[in-house]
Amino acid sequence: MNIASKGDDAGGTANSSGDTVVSANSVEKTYDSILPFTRSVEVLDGATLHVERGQVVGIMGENGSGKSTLMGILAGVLDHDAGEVERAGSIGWCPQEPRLYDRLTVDETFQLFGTAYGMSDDEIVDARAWLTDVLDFERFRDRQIRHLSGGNRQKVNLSVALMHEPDLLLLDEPYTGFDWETFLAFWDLTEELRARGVGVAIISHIINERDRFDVVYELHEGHLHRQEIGDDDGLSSEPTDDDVACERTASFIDEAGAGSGQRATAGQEESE
Amino acid sequence: MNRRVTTAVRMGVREFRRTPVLLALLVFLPAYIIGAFVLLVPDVDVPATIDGTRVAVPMTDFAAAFMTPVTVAILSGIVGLFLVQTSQAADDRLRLAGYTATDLVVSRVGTLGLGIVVVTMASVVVAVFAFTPESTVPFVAATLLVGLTYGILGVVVGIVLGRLGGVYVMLFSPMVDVLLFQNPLATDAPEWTKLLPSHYATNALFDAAFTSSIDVWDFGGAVVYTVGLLVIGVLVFYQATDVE
Repeated sequence: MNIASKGDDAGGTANSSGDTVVSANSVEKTYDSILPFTRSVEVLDGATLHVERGQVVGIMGENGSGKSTLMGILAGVLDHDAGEVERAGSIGWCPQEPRLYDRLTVDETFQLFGTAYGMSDDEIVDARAWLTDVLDFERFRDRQIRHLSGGNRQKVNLSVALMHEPDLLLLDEPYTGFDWETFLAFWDLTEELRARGVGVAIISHIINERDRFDVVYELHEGHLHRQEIGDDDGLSSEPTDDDVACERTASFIDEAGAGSGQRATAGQEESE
Repeated sequence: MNRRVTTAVRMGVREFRRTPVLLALLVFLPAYIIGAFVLLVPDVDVPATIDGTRVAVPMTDFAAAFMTPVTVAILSGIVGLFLVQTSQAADDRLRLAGYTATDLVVSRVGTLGLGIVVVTMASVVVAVFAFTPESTVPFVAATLLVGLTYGILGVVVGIVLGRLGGVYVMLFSPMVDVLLFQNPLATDAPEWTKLLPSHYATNALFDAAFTSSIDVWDFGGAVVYTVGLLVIGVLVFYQATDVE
């Protein structure tokens, strides 16, 4: 395994490696089992991706295509078999399933993770006030995580990733369970972060939201296929980096373009 | 201790406090297992092998002394299992957020240690209602070593086997180890039973319960066993929560 990670300390500051906050080059990942007669599953086969400062990147793909695995590798919580991952600056990671301590309250969760990020008590209080206000869960602050609804738990999950104002945000279906108002608030927040220069990578099933992204990657058969989103939605099936053509990408984005008049709600998305 | 460690230990203790089933077990199991045995056994003397010598001890005293490590082993194993089950999913996120491996290991070992001290105290308090150990401090120390041994085992088993398998193993293994193979009433225990987790600690415990002498080798063996398990536990825990 070849790993070249910079700024592993999540509380660290961005280094001077240019505008790229995370880059993955030719990343490979296979899930093996030590048990006999079980098959290996090759998930990533030369996946290549770059996220720049102030860029909002979407990662899409069918269920089981390896999006969450890719996100785990980008975050540094999963090993990869080959390839390089380089990170610059502090990371905020919001996993698909809220990884929180069920018997702690919302306030205690902020306190614990804020301490982990190296924030002072005052900074933790400020971050908590900001996020509970923006995402509208201030009234649940003294409630234990296990007693929160799925949507509110997801708000805490997202807040833990955001509270230290990282240089890179890795969000795995962050709006699962959000109501419409919170869904819109999330995108307002994302715009605010983009303006601050935060690089954001989001796994999403909501194809119709593709206009909100600067770049969309589709993960298909282990490869990432890049699509720039701009005024001219010219479509290309050519992958930019891994030299593996994918005709499916063009049709995938075509379908998205054709359906762009329909707006999916956060609740309609399908969990992987 | 640094700020991260104290915060994590404080939060870990709060999580324990908010687990009613665990708290109920803490009160119920010592009273049930130790108390019930003491009440049920006949008021006679039984021959037991203590420090290699066959001696007669009152059955009620024996029941109280013998069921104390059984209770502590079961409860400590469950505490270790609970600790890892409630924290494992989020611990790698905490590592990513800035906790070093040392911060996290010290935090979890600290929380586990506090839990085992409480378990030991609860069990010893019930036991001393029924009998007075010949050497109280060594008795408590040996009981604590049994708890630490099984607490660490609970952590390792919880990581390797998960919740359901882990609960079965942590209920079953103290029964086999302490109740069957370390039983002073039994004779001619196979040599390999000396390798079982509670062998040295229970020997030290029975010495302390019924003699005024302290067997340094048994205490030493128990400490070495506990430290060895702790090293294994730390490695398994580190592997389970490792981030790049």
